[in-house]
Amino acid sequence: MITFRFDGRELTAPDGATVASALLGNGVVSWRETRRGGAPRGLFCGIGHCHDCLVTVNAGMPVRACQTQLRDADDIRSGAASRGSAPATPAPARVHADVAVVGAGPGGMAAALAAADVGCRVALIDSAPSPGGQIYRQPVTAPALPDRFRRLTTHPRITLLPDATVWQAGRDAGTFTLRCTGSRPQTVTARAVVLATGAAELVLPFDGWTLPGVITAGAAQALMKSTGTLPGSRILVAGTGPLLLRAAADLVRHGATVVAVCDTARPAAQPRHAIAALRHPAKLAEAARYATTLARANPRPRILQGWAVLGAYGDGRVRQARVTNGRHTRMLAVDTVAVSHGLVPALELSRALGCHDEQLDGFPAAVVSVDASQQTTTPGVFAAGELTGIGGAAKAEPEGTLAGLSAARHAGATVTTRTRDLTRKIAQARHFAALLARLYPLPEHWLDNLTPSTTICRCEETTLADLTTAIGTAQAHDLRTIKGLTRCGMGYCQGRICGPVAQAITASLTGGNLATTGDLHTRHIATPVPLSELRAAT
Amino acid sequence: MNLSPDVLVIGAGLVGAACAFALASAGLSVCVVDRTGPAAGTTAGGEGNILVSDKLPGPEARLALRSVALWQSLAGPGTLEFEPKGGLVVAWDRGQLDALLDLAAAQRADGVLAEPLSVDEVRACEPALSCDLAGGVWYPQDCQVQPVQAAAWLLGEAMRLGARMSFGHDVLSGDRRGGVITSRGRLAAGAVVNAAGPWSGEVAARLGGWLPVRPRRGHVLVTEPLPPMVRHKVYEADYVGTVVSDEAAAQCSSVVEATRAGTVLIGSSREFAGWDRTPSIRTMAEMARRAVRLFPALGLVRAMRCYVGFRPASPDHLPLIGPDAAIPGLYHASGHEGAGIGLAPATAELITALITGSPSSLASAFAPAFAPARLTREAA
Repeated sequence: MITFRFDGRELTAPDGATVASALLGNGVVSWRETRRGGAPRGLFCGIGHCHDCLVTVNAGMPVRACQTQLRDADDIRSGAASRGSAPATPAPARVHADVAVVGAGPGGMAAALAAADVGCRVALIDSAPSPGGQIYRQPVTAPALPDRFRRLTTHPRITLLPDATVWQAGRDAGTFTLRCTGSRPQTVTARAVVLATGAAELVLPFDGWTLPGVITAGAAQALMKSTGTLPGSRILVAGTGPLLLRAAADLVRHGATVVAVCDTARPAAQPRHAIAALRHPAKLAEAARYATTLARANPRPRILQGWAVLGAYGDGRVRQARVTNGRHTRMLAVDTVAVSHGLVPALELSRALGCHDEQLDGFPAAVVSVDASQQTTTPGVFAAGELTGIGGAAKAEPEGTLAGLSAARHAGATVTTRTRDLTRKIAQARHFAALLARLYPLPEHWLDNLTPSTTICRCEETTLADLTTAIGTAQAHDLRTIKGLTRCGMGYCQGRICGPVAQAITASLTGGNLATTGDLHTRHIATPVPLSELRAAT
Repeated sequence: MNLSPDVLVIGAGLVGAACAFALASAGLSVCVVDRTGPAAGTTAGGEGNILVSDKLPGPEARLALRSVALWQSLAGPGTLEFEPKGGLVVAWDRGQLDALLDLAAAQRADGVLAEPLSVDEVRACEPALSCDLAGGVWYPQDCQVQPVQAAAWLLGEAMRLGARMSFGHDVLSGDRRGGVITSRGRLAAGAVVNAAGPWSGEVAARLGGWLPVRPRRGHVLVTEPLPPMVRHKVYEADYVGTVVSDEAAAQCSSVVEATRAGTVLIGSSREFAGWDRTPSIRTMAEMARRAVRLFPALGLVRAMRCYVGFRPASPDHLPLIGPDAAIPGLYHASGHEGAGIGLAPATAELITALITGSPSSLASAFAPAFAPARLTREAA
């Protein structure tokens, strides 16, 4: 049990709590107000991307509550304005490796093991306190990785760098340099790099989506997996994609009441694609397990296919949500809305290293181009998992293993491992991923559900009206100019949350396509870094 | 709508936008063309400086003063994030301070307000500054504007006066009948204004003219939003030295200021590095080092973003405003290096006076000093 103070009140939280889970567990749903609008904010993305959950801990720099482990006697203050005084910055610790792997999800873990097993020294970098990524996220108090990954922590040639986020990636001749911030500054140099940086959740905006209580489906899962905390008691799961059922099932298993699951897609109405899914029995069994969990829940959640969330309402937090199927609307009494409309690969490091990526058709995301060995267009840089196309662990693991082997070979190791089996698994996983993309398209006409005052950029509180004005009166047709005119994408998250949405809106309103509109994925500073650390970079 | 305009402005950045507005205000029909769209180039890559403090005494300082006056009449309070916040130039030691005071004295002779401050006065003016400074000079006329918004606003005002915008044109060549040939066809016009910023040298060449403009790259670091900490524009005294230097390698001098959004912008670097858009980590580190030295509390502030921009640099560091030496009807409005935002309204006023041929004291005062014909291919 941890005892801490929040705005002077003494509160308690279970061991292993994050600041966010501790506050939510005590019924606190918001702990910051926005700079412009004074609107309350709390947890949103839950995995460190959005910066909505900034809070002040022990009078230091504001930190993300979802990424910060709570310690005994912590003094938490609402707001993100305090600063404290500057400590002397230690020079960055240097880590030399043959292969650096960024991201310790299934793809990154598989890559690290594969490269280390053929003799390479591997540095495995991840922003979380322990490996696992989003899929195998573990509680800090009871680490429980799947058996095949457990030897990661004891492997003699793997250096784990937890609590480390790469803020800058560069290359000079044949050497890659990854500068990390987090628990301490670290600089990793390597002869080959595997990027397994995963994805951010896409949430299509709706009225009230900035209210505390609206979170991503991934945030709900991260909260439960790492701390056992429920995001609320009556939950609407909404959006589109196979992740919704999984999130709903997880919530039910942890004891939450899921009121409804609204998916804008109707996969059952596409028999041709549904039949193609028969080629993937393991995946169907997984879906059946989620369906069974939901069917046995009491009360039983309503599964609404072809329904979208229109708005979330409440005073300071969600009390109700409105859903529609285009003909009827319903108001649901809920305290939490967990939303996901798909996943967008996190491209800042691949862009920084000059890797080519390709804009998807009809979905505001791009995927990193790789060859048959998982190598990107930058020699020595390999990519695995969601970066090369959304496909979950089934795709990430074999891609990670292959990327790890290829990176090891690039770094000079002798690799005799046969890869035919891996290649077959990858092909199968990609086939299934492509099928899912067709079963769960982005809803048509989603823009019609927005009002001019709907917030698009959560950080800078840019509205749809701001975007339409920039596009209409200033004749701005590219996203970078629109960003300059409206501040959309200029806040803490640097467009991670609003970038794909603004890209889709701009393409739609200008009659252009997603590729010519441009995107906001290029971030030369991949995550905010203290100037005291930046000045020490050499 | 098929009538060809009096003037075709190439470039929808701030200089082109200001020219379009000034020309349309003078009753001319105007068409603005751009390869991309409004404010897509250098305008979006800078800080929005409107400075008199970094101008050398003479025509440049007087053009800057004229431009500040025009900006003040263009931007009402609360619009375009225009802030007449003043600039504070600080010196680290006695030698730097003496050189700064000499410059200030010469600037005052041209009408620039430049008030010497003691160390205590510097710290009273800007309390978060380092205690190790030797003194400074206060320039109350320095201002700031949000350049992308300002360009869009000027283009909008020009359109209200009948100007047309036509984007997505790559200018390919001149047209003997008057006007230009672009990737989308022929655009006839009585006169052409080349306001293509760092690309204006290339545009001039395609039109058969000559303009010695090179891209001089700069970096800007943007911090997370902060409670008010930096009140004015604050520069190190060696800033002016780096502006007029001809060094190719990156040179840094600290320029720190807050924006209305709460972020702090940290500059500046200057280098000739071609068109490379990837920021240099060494330059970023040097800028951070200097900014934290100036404002120690910035050490605990995070940088969120870094961007690079390309300044249109002329060989003698003075703008190139006026007719091309060889091609009749072609005018240049470029070469401002890092001062294009600040000097845009006065540049536009001068271009308008030259094109309309209206006798004005402005044209006679400034035209010779900034005439592109002052530089010759042989000398370059």
